[in-house]
Amino acid sequence: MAHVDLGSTPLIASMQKIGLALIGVGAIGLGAAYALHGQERFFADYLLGFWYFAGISVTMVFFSALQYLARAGWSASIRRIAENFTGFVPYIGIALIPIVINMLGHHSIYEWSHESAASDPILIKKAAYLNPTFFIVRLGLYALLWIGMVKYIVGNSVKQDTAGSDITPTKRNWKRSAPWVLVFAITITFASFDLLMSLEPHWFSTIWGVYAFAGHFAASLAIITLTLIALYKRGLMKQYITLEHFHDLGKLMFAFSVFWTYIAFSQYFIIWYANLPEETIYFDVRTSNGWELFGLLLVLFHFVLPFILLLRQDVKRKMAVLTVAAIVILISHFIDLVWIIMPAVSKVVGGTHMSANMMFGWSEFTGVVFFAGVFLFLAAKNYQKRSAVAVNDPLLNESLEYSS
Amino acid sequence: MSKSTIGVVGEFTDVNALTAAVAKVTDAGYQRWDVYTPYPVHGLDKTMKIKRSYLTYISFAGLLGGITTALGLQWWTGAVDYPLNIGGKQLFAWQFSVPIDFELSILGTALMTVMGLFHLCRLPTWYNKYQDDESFKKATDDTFVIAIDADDDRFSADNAQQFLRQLGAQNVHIVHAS
Repeated sequence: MAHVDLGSTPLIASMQKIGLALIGVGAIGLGAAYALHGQERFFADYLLGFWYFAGISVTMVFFSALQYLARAGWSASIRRIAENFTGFVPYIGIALIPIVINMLGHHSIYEWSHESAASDPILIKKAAYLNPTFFIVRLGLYALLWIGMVKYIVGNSVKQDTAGSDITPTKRNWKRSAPWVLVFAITITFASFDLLMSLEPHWFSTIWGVYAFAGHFAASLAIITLTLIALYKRGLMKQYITLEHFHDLGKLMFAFSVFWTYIAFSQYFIIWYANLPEETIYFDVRTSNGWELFGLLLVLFHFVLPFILLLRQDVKRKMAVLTVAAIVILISHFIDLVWIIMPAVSKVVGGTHMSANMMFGWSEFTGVVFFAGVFLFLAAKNYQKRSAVAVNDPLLNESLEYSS
Repeated sequence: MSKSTIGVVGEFTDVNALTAAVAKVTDAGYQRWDVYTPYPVHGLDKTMKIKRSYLTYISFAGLLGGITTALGLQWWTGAVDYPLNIGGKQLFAWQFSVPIDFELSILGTALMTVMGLFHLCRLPTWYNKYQDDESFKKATDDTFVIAIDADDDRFSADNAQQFLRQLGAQNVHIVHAS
């Protein structure tokens, strides 16, 4: 089948323009945040935006690898949408540089990098893992492994487009997607430990990696769904998209909103029941000074609304409902990260009691806007480089004919 | 005395011809009729314009029953009937009740779904009124059968037979009660 070139369509052109505009607005915003709110809050906002879209773009590679791992037929015609959203992955290493600079600087958002950590009885025991050198080595390793994963999985998928009847590239992905998924599982877990959980270095949660993954996967599915709706509404790729694809993406969004809830509640439940001060402190600072509002909004946006919106069978075939649900999930992912990152940075110790000041305003949007721009701009570039559909995939026909 | 009529059956061997015929029977307005096939034919339910079942509401009732039982049981036994202080924990709190609420709502939903399905499919039914008919027996092997029941308001044995023949059915005949 002929390649589907969407590179010169108005949709991709405006995606690129919006991307550039967001980069500009976000950069100005981040600059203003630095100037007006100081470096600590600036780096927190930067980390918020970075992790939101870095996590999503890495999870997009995982989505593709997962389809290969399961030899999934249903997704063959829409898999390239996820693959095109991995454009940001090769630049993650560069985007990590400010975080490293912050960590090396004076009074960073990472408490364990302060000089006072050497006299902290808990942090001194964690110093073998939480020290600047090892931190930088690990971040570099994640960035490299993620590039490798994109080059391999997405690379083979693109190679298949021009390989004719020879399905060696697809076969390679079928074989090697399993180890790459393992690499993804380990790297996303430890990256979420390093970048987010270590903001609260005295605290720990062993389910943290799954929690981070669940949020990213739900958000990735929401972005895939929104893109698919945009393409479908404009009649692009129309012969490659069926209502069945929307139905299945709806099911996955529903499933992973509930999965996130399951993990988030497990984390909360175990800490709540054990009632140990060193563990409850995390929820203690996040349920006072107005942060409890974010916790409640999180329950509403990450569980209640997606659950109610997507429960019925027939609504998963309605674009309007899917659009609302996808946007709700993207908002919930933002609330989730704000709730994790900002209280860790605004924490204050008063006497024996620790609490977090409310720290939420316009500047929390700047990092997300900036990286949304980077994410969209680099994704649009991918549409200009390659076919928007894996036209030569051996399972393509199955994807067009299946019914869910 | 002639035996009572159960209905009229007609055989099809091609699945596309069957689907086309099913659409025509649906359009003709028959209410009490059915198609018997040796394997599931995708899309046939849509062609027959079978209405969405209310099974989901039965399931939902099961969910409500399950979660109410779970909350009620934990609260009443723990905080009302036999309050017991265990390690200073609260007698009842929504947090610790969640795993049981979750499990019992799934159990309630699952049981009601299975029972509702049996009810809606009229199971267990140990017989089919057409079971002694040769055409019907072939429907378990290599033939598709359309059967129009005699208790349909529009049913007349002659019209139904003629109609099925027009649609290309083979071996159209009346089925009598044995």
